[in-house]
Amino acid sequence: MTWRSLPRMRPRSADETLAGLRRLRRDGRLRLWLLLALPIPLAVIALALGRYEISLATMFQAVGRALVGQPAATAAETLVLQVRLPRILAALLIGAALGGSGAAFQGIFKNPLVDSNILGVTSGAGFGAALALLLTGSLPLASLAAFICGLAAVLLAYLGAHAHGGSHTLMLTLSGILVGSFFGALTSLVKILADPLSELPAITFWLLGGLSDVTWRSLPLLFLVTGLGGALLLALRWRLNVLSLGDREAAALGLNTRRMKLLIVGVASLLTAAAVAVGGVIGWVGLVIPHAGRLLVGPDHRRLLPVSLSLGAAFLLVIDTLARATLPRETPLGVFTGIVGVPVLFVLLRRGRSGAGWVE
Amino acid sequence: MKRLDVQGLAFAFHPDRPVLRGISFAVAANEVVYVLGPNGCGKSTLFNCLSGVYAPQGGRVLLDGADLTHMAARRRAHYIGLVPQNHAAAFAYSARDMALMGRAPHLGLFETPGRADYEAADAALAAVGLSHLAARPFNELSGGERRLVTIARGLAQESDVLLLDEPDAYLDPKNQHLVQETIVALARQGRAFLISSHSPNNALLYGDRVLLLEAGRVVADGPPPEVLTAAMLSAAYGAEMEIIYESNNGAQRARAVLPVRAGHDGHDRR
Repeated sequence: MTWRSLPRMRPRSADETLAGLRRLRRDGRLRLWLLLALPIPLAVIALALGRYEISLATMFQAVGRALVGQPAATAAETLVLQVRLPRILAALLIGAALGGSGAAFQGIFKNPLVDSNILGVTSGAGFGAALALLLTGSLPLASLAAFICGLAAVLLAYLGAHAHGGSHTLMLTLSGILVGSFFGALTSLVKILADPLSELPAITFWLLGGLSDVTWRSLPLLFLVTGLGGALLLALRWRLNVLSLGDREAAALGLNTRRMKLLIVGVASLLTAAAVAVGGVIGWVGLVIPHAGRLLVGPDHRRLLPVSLSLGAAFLLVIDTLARATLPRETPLGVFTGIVGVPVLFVLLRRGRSGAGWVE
Repeated sequence: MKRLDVQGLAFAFHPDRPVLRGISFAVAANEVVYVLGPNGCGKSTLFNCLSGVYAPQGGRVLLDGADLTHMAARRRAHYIGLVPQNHAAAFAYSARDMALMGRAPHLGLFETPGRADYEAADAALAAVGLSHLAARPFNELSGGERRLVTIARGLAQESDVLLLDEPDAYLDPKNQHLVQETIVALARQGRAFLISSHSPNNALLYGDRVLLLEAGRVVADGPPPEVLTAAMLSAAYGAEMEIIYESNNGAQRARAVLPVRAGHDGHDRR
């Protein structure tokens, strides 16, 4: 293109800085790959950890036997394959879903204080599960109801915003907060109606989140949704940069902002709903993980999104392993993520605003 | 491109308070057109309608006969680009990543920028003299430097027509000159630029034509010396203005527009 050959008025050491930029990018790439690979060694370690100690040799034997299709030979091997492995996979998938959807929500709402619950997914899911537990007491049904009500809440928030002047971010935020508090109130109502000796504890534990009931049967839907949704978000990762400039600028840059936002909100909500359906309400991951990601690899969603997926997976795996292996009584995950997540967020805030990759 | 035709463009946020009341004008390739007018006359709204940020409620925008108002956003962004007034980003993208976003209309839904896009972004940053700040976070730059980065983003978009909403705001005299000379040079290579500004002097110095807007209407459209007269500007801005002329072998040439201060006789300066 001819205009690129225009005289440049201030060539001051341009080549030097571009070389510097390339060097930075090379260093950044190693860090990026290390972060992306992080969940793998953590998963191997987590498989060996627990109140019942299992040697690494037994663990590899069990996994090896399963891979060639032989049944588990010992109780330890059964424990590894039937209890720990599905639980670890669930932690990885849920963490990735929450981290990735948190990054996507923060991107389109161009606000680093937003988390996956901004449109009321989690509140809706909580209500669905609580209602199902009250009416049937069945955990699989609670899971299904959570998934459906979570998505229904987002739909309601979206339609509510749409009725009042389109898909503008501020309207969407307000609508999401309203829907969230509405379902929160309904959940409280369900709790009041529940039997305080049997149903109420079940509901409370579900709402605090946990993976102790995970079996292989919990995994296919979670795997499918996280796999497809994560892939779609990854494919759209650069568009998220453009969308985060705001509706007007993105529209002038040729994006169909309404359709793009609907797509990303839909995918991120599906991810969150699937995660909540299996793990219950696990807060903080969707808020803290994208922040940590921005500190480590910067705000560019081309890096931030994959890193949020892997960092979310790693974080939740560590939290869940701590929850099941350290304390004598299993602690709900929602409690643990809050206790670990809040100090982490404070540390991140201390690291400085510009370092965190966002403004003021 | 050959010609941008705007016919009877109308827009209102509230039905009883129209912002644009039937705006018509044309821009040819190679032209640099300044849009002047008092605050609130509809300059930014006009640009937002032209670039598809707002849907016009009446009229048409034609580029070589193709109607831009009913075109898919991505295709329209090949024809017309916008450098908006505000310059804040929620996240601290580097200047280079910001300029790179101008490439959005050239990339498919699932594509990420490739080598050619980086080359376009780097060339655009060089054209506004900001290569040395490429790696710096956008929101750590000064207001003027951010302005230059968003202008670079507009250049990297490589649209036929580029709308610049007050590109001279926040810039020091040198950078105002740099940006406007770059724009004139680019226009001579077959593109067209519409520039909104509050500086009649910049229109006089760099413009091929001036559109004067008042309350959502075009009140004057022509070469700068014809539109930028004391009478026209005084009426448009509601403040007395005078033109300073330069005499060259008997021929008079308008060189500057200045407001007249009460109690100061402007003619003393001749």
